[in-house]
Amino acid sequence: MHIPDGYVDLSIAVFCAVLSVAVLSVAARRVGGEVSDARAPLLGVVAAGVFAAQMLNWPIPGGTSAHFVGGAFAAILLGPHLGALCLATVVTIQALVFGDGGLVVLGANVFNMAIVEVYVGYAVYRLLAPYGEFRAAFAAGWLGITAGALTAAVQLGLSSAFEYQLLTTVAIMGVGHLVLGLVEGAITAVVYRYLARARPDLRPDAVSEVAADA
Amino acid sequence: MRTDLLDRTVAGIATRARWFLLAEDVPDRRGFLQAVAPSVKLLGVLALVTVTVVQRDLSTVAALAGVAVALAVLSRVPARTFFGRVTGPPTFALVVVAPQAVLMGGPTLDWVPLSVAGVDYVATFTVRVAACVGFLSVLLLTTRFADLLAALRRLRAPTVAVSLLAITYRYLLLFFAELERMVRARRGRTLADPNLRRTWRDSGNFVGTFLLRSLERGERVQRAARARGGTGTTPARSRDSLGAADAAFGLVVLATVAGVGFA
Repeated sequence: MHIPDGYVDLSIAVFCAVLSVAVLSVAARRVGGEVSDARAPLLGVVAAGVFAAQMLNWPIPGGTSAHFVGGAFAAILLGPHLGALCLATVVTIQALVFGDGGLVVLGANVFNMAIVEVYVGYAVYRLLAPYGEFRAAFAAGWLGITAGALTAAVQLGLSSAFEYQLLTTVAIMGVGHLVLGLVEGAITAVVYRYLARARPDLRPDAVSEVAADA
Repeated sequence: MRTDLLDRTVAGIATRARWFLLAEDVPDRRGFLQAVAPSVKLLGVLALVTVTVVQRDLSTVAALAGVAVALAVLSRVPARTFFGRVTGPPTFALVVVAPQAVLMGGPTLDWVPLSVAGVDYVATFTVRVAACVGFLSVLLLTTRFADLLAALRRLRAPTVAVSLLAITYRYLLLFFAELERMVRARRGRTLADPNLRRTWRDSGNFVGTFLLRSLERGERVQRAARARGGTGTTPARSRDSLGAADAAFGLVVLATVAGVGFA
């Protein structure tokens, strides 16, 4: 889902970059003033872990394989604001070290993968968690990545540099990721189930449960 | 877990790790862009990519792609490395926009039923993507990541963002090595290919274990940082004065931007 430079109009790339900076600034403030000097290592190390976890190949029927993206998962594990900062770091490293995506379009890629995917994923999880956390994690991964793909489709469809019409890009990327997103949802759910069993204290509602018990 | 998937994972990790080592090796060569201050190089390449993304003329984007190749040659970037990086995204771009050669209206070529405007658009789009990837590649292949971070700091990027990038980069190779060790260990324990359901459950446990280790390492590093009173700003090599190479690169960028403006 990394958009390289040359696909998106400059005006759209700049608009998305400004929007991304604004949202990430708010996220940084919401996690306690600024991300403190002592908290940055946790985020940085977890971002490196999410990046490395994306390397694992997952089998899907038909003999091919898929990769974990982890936007919704990071949101569930770290909370939406830290999750967004974590994924923004991953996307920026991917661009500035490995050349995935581009330079001018970096803000748009951060917006799609670190903001839309993370916040939509988290909202879906919170909405559905009362009906079952495992199912909620699946839906979060599935709909989070689909929402990210849809915003990428809108950016491409509105760009004069990319000749396909908005309806075409939204239909192709939306339907495509609605199907591919099932894999992301399933990965998010199985990893979440393991973590919830191994470290129940990491579940988003763990703190409130402890407080209620006390 | 299926052994072919494990092999693919190990190969993927190795490719990323190789790219890491390469990114630390090529910037040491004596070349044109290696002598340019990272902040000047970052701004210059950003200007070149910005100019490139707004172009809609084939000859102009081809000339810009030529500038990217010339910068790579002058910087002694190995041809195999450069073209290995640059060919992937344009090839994908070509596949994505190729239908426009048929879909766009207007007069067709003499020997094939493809629209003239469509073929021009497909060629322009593909070469534009190639030029952008070329500029980004010469930046990444001639600049150490630590120098890139120092440049961001010098350009007044938020300190916390630069710190996050530095910490993530510092731990990436470690996590690649850890993931590779875990994959090899799992492969050593896998005698037969299990069914899809079992593979998914095992993979979930595997990634969960790996992420838990990452999180616990992060918590340890955070506690250590707190005990030290914070991470502080990592010292970076700084260059106070700009040299001839910086001026020369500035001229190349200005000449390119002006040339494109007149074209």
